[in-house]
Amino acid sequence: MKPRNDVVEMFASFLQFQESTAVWVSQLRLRRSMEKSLQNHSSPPTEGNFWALYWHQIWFKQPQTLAKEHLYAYLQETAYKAAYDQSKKVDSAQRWDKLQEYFQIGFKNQVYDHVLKRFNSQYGSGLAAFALPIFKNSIKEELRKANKAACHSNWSLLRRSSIKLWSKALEIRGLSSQDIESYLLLRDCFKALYSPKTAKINQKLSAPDADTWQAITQLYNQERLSQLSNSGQELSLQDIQERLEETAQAIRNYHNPQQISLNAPIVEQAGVELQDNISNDEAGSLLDDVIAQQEQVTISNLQQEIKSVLENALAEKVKPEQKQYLKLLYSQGLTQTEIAEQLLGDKKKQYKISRQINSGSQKLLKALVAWAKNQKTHNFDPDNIVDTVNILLKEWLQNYYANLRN
Amino acid sequence: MVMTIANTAHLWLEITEAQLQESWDYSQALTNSLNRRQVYLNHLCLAIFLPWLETEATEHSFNSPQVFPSIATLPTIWSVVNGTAIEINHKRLVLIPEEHFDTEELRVPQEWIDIPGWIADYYLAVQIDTEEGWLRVWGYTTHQQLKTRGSYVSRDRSYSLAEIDLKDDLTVLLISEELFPERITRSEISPLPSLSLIEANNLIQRLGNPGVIFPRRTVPFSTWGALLEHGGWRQNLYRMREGLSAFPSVKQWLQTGIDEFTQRFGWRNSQLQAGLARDIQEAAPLTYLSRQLTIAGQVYELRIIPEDMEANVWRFELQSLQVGGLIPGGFKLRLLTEELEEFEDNEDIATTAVGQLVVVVELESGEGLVWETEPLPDNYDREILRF
Repeated sequence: MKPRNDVVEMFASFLQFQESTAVWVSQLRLRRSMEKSLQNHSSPPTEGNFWALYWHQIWFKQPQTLAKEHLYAYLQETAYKAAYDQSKKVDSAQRWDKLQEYFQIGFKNQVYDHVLKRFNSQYGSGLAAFALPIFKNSIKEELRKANKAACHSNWSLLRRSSIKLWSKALEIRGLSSQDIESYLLLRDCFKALYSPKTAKINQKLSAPDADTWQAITQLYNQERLSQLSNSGQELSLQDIQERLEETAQAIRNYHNPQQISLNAPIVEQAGVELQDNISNDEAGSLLDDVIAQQEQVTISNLQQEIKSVLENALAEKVKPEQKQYLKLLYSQGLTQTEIAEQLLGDKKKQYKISRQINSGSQKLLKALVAWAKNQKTHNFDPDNIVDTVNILLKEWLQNYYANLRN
Repeated sequence: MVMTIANTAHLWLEITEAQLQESWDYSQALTNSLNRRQVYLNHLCLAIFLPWLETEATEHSFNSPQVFPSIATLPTIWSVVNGTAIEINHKRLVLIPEEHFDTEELRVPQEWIDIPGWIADYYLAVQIDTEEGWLRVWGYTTHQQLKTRGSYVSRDRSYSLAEIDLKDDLTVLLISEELFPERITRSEISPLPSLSLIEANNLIQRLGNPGVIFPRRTVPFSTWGALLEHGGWRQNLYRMREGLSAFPSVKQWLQTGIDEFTQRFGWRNSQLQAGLARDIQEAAPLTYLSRQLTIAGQVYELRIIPEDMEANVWRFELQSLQVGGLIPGGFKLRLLTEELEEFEDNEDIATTAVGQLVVVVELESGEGLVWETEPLPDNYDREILRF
């Protein structure tokens, strides 16, 4: 994969995987929209970061426009980077396949939307830098889930899947909402009457015995009359077993990494309902806003102030061991398990590491919120101040430790 | 087995083998096997999360967290509704533990959202993995968010928000509470209609049948909610579903001792020492019921003393347990009917600091009463005493 240098390409092209490489394929609609936006300005900036902020503000005001797709296109590189980093952990023969799998996870888990929702464009920090840890986390989470889905027997899998997961998996399988409702009632009956007999839920939980099956069947047929909007037909014991096994299979498919690309539409098929036209007036004034905002951020030296607040807090309030953990976490990208193993010689002490990291970052967060509250040049929205500042903090830590490394 | 902490924004806590066993034993002691797993997970969740929260409370200078309504009454909730409430810094958190391997959404039972006495400020999504021995808080939201942005599903009477709409870092919650405690977290909700004694008893009879597998969905929500909100009726429902005998009368307690379930609420038999008894000549020492209450940080004792067992006349007393301690002005001791209605001479008010508050009542045989104080004691949950 070659990084894109042309700003039009950055916001108009998507990665396509081939045998042993990935190439950029641009979409005409997006190219045109980007070119038009560039023409709106006499001396348009050419940095991706700037246009990401611009499109993000448009997306925020008009979510149903092409802005979203421009941002999806822009974030492709970040998703690739996250997938690439994760794929380094598997052996080289499988690496390319895994990379593709990991790259697709971004589409499946709404990670792009997640990034767009959480990103706060007011503080002049980059969208890509903000997105990277979110992509990385979601890949790790997804691998954990896929692993769980593969290890469980049907019966423990069914017990350990949420209502939402049942619904999604069955929907993808093509069931109507009325059918799904009846499967969910089955879920309630199954869960109510079939519990593991041990404190630890066994991944290999065996099938219910004959009596339990009988009880589940009876309960379902009794409850369907009052609980379902359409009570449907009476089900036999065998119907019920089959339906549960079918659901387990649907959940497995849903979490099978190889299936992901089939499940997830790539950028909602160019979003049939998205509007092509963003009114020119609005776009023109937004562009000016973004430029003005960028300048203002520089003038106010917000970043400089954040730096001095946090460096002071790091020196005065955070314990040496907490600093050491934060450094390993952010500069070397070690997991808490790895830190525990390296420093304490015991993987199990990750909880200790977790608490220390937590306590250290709380002190930093408190210091930064105290500063933000009394900020003169910039007004933080009081309802979200702690949230906003927490994001600023995480970004700052990322940058701070990355620079220390160099 | 050791798992890898995937997301550092989440709070991850370790579950020890000993704790697993303790919570398991606790849940297995219930007669009704139906919701033992739910009881187990909630007990486990509370046992692991509370010590962490206590440490944080000290860090942030909050009052020590309190379980709502009280530790003793938790099984009456857990056996019918998922979720555990904790109060801290004048706010209420509800933990929703699940064993799901996925984190698609936070789904909160309607009871925690729409029962006025149960409404909370924050709702925490807790994932528990008993096999790998950890729990994590992977998201949280507010009552307001669930009410305004969550989707209500009538099928299972729940409000839910997708993962993408949850906040993921509990640190933010704690610091927001410390620095901006006045932030709005709740939406307005409407009160539930009150139930008559006959309605309540019919419901308890009907839903108390352990053969009713989904009691919370069997009757309209407002009816169900009103039943649960009344601690005394909730206890009766629990006793029925657990197959415990009907609630014993105070008279029976005095004669044959207090059953184990009631002891958990702090009630015990005491005997009036000879010197204190009104009639020193009386041969048999006078037995009465008592329990300790903590009101506004001070310890008091509530006593129920038989004045005339034959005529069913009873004396309720509230007094300080501190030597020479008084009851501050403004405090009230009040008795209500089972339906929470007032009656003549049902309360005593301390106009200035007094030694004790006293209410004497004459009752029909089998009649039930609910007591309350003003201000309310810590961990107060209404209970019905039968005479």
